[in-house]
Amino acid sequence: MARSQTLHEYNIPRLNGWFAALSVLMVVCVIGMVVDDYNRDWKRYQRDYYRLERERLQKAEAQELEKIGPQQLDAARQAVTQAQAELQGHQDRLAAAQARLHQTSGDWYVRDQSSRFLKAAYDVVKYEFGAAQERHDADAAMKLRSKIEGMEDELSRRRLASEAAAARRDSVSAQLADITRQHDDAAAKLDELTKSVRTMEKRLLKIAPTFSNRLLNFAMLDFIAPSIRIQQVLPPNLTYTVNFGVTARIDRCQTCHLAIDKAGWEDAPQPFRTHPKLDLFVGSNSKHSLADFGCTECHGGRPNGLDFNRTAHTPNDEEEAARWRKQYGWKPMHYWEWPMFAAHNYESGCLKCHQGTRHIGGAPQYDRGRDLVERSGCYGCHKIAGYEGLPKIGPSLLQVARKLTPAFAYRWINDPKLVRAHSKMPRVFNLENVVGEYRGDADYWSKRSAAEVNGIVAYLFDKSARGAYAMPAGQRGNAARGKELFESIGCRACHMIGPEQDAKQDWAVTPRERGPNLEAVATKTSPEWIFNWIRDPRQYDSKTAMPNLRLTEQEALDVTAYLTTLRGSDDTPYRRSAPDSAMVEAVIMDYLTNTQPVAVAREQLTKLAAHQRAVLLGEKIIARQGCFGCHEIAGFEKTLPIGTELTEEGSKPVARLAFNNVRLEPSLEAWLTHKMLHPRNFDEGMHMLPGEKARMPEFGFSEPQAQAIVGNILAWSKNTVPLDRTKRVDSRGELIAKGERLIAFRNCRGCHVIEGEGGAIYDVIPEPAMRPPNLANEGAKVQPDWLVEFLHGPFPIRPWVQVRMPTFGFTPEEAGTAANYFMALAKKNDDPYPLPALQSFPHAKDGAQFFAIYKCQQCHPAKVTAASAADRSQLAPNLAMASKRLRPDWVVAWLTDPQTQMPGTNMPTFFYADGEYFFPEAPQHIEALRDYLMTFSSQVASSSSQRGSAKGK
Amino acid sequence: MQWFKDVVNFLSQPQYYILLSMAGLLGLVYTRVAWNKAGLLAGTLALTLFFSLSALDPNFHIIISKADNIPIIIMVYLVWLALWGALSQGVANDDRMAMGLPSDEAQEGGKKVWCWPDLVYIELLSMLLVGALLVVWSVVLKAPLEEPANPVLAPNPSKAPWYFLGLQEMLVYFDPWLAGVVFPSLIILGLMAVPYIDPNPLGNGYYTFRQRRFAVTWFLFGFVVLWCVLIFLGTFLRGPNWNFFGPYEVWDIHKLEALVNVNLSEYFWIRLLGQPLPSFWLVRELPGFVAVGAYFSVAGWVLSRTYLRPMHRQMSRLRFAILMLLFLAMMALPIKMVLRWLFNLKYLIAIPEYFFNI
Repeated sequence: MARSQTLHEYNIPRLNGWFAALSVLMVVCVIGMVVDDYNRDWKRYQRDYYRLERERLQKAEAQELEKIGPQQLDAARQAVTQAQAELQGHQDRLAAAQARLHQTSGDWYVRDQSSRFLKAAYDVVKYEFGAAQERHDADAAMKLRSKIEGMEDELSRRRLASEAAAARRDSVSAQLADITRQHDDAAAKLDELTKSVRTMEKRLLKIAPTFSNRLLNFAMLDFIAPSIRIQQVLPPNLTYTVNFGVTARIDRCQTCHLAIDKAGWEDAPQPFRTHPKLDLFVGSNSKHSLADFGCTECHGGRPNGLDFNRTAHTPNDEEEAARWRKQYGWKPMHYWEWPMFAAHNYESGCLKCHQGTRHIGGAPQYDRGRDLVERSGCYGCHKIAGYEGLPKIGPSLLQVARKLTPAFAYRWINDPKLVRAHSKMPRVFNLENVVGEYRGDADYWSKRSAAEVNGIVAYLFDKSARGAYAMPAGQRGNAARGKELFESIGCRACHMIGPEQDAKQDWAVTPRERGPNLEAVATKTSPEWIFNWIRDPRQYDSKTAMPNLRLTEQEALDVTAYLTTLRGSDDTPYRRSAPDSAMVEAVIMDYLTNTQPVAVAREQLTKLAAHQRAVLLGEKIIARQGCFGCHEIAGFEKTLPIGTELTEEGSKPVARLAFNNVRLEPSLEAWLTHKMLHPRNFDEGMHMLPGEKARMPEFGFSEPQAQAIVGNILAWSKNTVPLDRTKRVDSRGELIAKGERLIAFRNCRGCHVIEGEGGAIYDVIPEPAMRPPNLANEGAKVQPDWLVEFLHGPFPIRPWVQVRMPTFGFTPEEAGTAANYFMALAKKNDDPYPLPALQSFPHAKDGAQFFAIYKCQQCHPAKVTAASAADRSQLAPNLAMASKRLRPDWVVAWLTDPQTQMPGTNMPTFFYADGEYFFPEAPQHIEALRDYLMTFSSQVASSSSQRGSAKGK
Repeated sequence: MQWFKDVVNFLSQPQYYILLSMAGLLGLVYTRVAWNKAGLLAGTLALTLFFSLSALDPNFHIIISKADNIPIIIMVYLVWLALWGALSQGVANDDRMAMGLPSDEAQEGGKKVWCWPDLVYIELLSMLLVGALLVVWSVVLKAPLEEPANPVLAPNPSKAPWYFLGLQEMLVYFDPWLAGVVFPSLIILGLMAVPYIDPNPLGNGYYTFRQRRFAVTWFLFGFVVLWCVLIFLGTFLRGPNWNFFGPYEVWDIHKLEALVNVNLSEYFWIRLLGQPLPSFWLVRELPGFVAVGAYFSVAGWVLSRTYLRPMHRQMSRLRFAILMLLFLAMMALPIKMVLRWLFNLKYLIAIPEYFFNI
């Protein structure tokens, strides 16, 4: 030892010390590693959840026990103990019976087994026989056959013996049951009483922090059968694409959101809250069950993430973001392209599957956004799938010179909101990125804008059709009468004057905004134009949505007189400032030199006179700003829209967005919202040539409006949902979707309630009897042929109502679309018509009697007199047109129970209520009435005379 | 402080950064000021001060606090300590030998120790210590794992693994086949060839600088400047779009640098002779071939007559030729860098017809 010590380089005992210390360090580090790996947030959530569940269970158990009642429970338990005591008294009999049972059971077991074993041997011999037959070994087969037959006999003997033994055992068992009957009954009663409690206790035991549960959940042992484990759902065929590879969607959200599919946790703290719409989502019987749809396909987020940040939660607002930062250390997860939708954008997930339907009923925010997109005409500049082929939202400018003065047009284009604060036309010029100085010229942008706007006006008027409008000479309109007409005949369904809109609707679209706000209309155009326009809008704009209200010449004069009084508050005369000629030249050169050499451009320019230069400049500016996206403009019929395609905008990665100098949360939603509110703001602080600047106009959206639109844009994304999970539009759905477009374009909801929505004009017509009708169930009510005819040439059905059904000038196809729409809504689109079973109406004669008995004509007069019109709230349509107008099956349904057909109708209930007829002959009465109405031809003359007069109007 | 940051940012531009690193290394090696205890203290302190004070700058902080970059900081210290350890020992030995004493290592030379426990035991202890450190490291600094790579959303900057950042820097100056294939192979082959090129027994078994000036200097140049310093540069000074950023600058993804580099052929034919480029590539690239050929022949010949004259005398011709090839290939990198910075020279020889560029 001594020798080796001298040769050691190191002090070995000290090295031993080091060894001990380092070993301890290593062990501590490894334990630390295991603990660090084991401690996950989701495990804490599950422990919390099980604790909450235990508390709930214990409470429920206590309540259950209280419900049973301690006395009753005690009594049941006592009964058991008593029975047990009694049983003690018969101990000898009991023991003897048990011994006998033991013996007979054993006997049966042996016999049964010998029978089954013989059967097994028998099967083997049977196989051997088959094999011998196959190899044509007749001798062996013969032997085996006799063996089989012997075995069969033996088998039936053993079976008999076994059955006899079973019978002996059963009889002994019955004797035993007799002895213990009282006790067994008492025990069963106690069992029944405590059944629910025992279920709870079983569950409690499963989730209680018992030693075995703790052991199974312990670090390094939790691979066996832990109760704290990752919960995941794998909806079939739902995938997402990473790196061009298709990856299955495995949603692990339930690992923390443990009660998402369990009712009863509605008020629990997050993450344990129940889904707020369990009947529609997540629930196993709902349309969007968890097993079929998972979570992230609709909500977004990272499906297999297991902690708060790595699942890409998105806060609803800044306040929530601040709370999350504090609580969870939240930060946006920029490695994941599809963050969760914020709570206010949940509906953006719907469109993925619900394409092809215009409205998704359960998604009001999305639907409002869609209305806004349509109403603002976003599709004019941006291609968006699903919005193709919609009409341009602005008026045609092909005849603009007949309507406006150049001075007015100049002022309007310069800033439409200055002329008419509530105009839908967005501001294009003088926005934040095109004002002030440029390259040292303080007035550069004011001069440039003036030149550009002037150019647009010059171009539009240069290309416009000409010809002055005239009014009937010598006749004058009465403004007061005109106002009355304006307010009563239905103009207000589509037009407002000034800020009429309700504050509560500040973000919603009301049908009353469909037409232009008529504020200051008198300063815009001439009385002559207005007169001719309201008499026949199509002579000015063949594609206009404005219908013809069949105004007489005098009515038109009156309304014109009234509209001429709407002058607005801005009295400054419109003046078109002469553009700076050097600026005009410079801007034109800007554009020309983009595509041709400077010398050629200069030569082209010098050949042009001042007016031609303005027209050329206008053409360039219209092309740049894309005015033709909303307006029909000569020379731009085939020009492609200027905006970026938005069909998959919702899938755009954040990295592709130019935030420039604007500090925002790095998310698509934040960027889009900012763009909606301040479309030119991203140019702030950038040095850009004029042609590089942003050109999206400013619509003046409010924040809720911007959010609703952004909710839509986020929904326009790459669709990866398999077909079996998407909403498929059937032929009926297609008819409805097509009709919805027409209904929206023609603004039917301005007057009518359709599918529970609309009737905007009701706001300004207080008297219910004077309002246009609710079209609920219209398709079930009227005959399609009649509806088409009516749409082509409307006539008054309720003559006392002053609002006029307009003449839209439908093409046959459009009228068919509308009729099909109502039929489809009522699920009558596939019905044959006329209904074959109801071709004849045999009971018409009886019906005539009942018609008189039930005094139908009291409310359904053939002719509305002044006296009857006074009490118009009781009036109903003339029944003379019923045979042409109403469907016989609807008449039956209507007479039977008017309130289910049209809730709130004045029609009395004569025959039926609460599932019962008032008298047994009621169905016959109804049928007779129907037959009478359907053959009601004697008075048809009066109907057609009414129609004739309507046409005369 | 801003002026200091501005100065550092300015000096960190690649041309100054590389030249300063070269000058710094050569200065330290030749002046011997750093290879004592005070030098160790001063150097370590200077590094620590640089990192800790710079960490106050938000932009620098973002870079050094990235979990991926911690090893680079550790590498900086380790390179410094290893450099100091080797050179301080070498300098000490040089001094001893100048006084006629044997080197430290020679003095200890007769001593022998047991394999067990002296060697294996401390190896075990080292394993335990390093193992514990790695466990703690892996727990405290999470692995910088991201989502599966998405080719439509490539990370910017896209950086090679840290140990290849030197190669990636070379790619800025050389065609990929040179920087990615030829040079790395030459590095490996060259290192393998060193024992056969260099049969000089001096320095065997002991540290020395004076006896092996050329070998130590140019090995350190290759390893420290052309490898470690470039790794540092790649980690801390190369930002989005592989643009260059000072340590205290924002990594602005929109930063633009004018790409105005031209080939030698253009310098020669258009700028010097005022005529269009010859259409035949061989004629067009003649100046480049001449330049490259001259570099490898004339430069070798000149060196053999001047700086490397003694070595040339001692070595066989083949050995010297291989040494020259390796040495000149190594020096091609800094030379190409200087040409790029001074003349915006893109390639000496550019034959896109055959995907061949030098």
